[in-house]
Amino acid sequence: MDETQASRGGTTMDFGVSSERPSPAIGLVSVTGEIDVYTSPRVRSAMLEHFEAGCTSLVVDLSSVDYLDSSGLGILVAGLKRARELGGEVLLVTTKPRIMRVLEVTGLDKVFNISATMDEALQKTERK
Amino acid sequence: MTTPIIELRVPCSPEYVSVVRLAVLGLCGRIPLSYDEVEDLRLAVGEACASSVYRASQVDSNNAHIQVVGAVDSARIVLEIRDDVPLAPETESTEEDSGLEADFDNQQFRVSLMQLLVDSVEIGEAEGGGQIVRLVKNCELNG
Repeated sequence: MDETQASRGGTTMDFGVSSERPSPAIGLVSVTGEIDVYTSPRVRSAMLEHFEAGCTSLVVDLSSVDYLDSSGLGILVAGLKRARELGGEVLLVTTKPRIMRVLEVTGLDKVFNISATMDEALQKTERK
Repeated sequence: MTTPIIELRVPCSPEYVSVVRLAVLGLCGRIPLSYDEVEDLRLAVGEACASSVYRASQVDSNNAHIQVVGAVDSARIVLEIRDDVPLAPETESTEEDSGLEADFDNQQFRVSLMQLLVDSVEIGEAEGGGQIVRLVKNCELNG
């Protein structure tokens, strides 16, 4: 995992992004830590790399993400737009109440396909 | 606003937004808010700071700062987030070259999100230029 201790103005928080490609058309992006205006560009880069490599669908694992702001939401929405243009989908993995709360309050819980586990999400992509 | 409990001044840069969120977490420890209410407030403050950071990036304002003033006022917590980034007309996102840009107005989305998370959001021009965002979260103080 490309994980770093991101020094953030006096506090140190673990943030990491890792990428896998379980099949040529499916990219997997796993994120740990907080997704905000500082860290979201790295999530964007990971997602973009998968699209540029030919993936049409992405699974974004947010199960270890504790904080998600509008910067992160914007990137996820942009990724979903790109995936749908390619005939694919962006699936999110999370059961975290805080992340679900942000998705629900913005109405994005009805836009994204959300799974409780990675296996469940990957099964959904295989069925598509 | 009553006498401030916290006053914080940080560079208007993405890496310092988490510092502000952390300070707000400490302030919230003084008042009877639920976990969800505290997290909502932290997210709203983060959005206000992100708005400042975005505006600073639009005008190449490298020396800008964000000042946060927080107070508990009888039955509510009041947070003012002000920056010294010159107000300028909205421009297109600088993220266009990334190849993965949102197809909605991120600044407007931030405002909408703040309005969903706290009881009151006021956005105006700060004294001497810049933007000021005033967030109010109502709570019930015990004694």
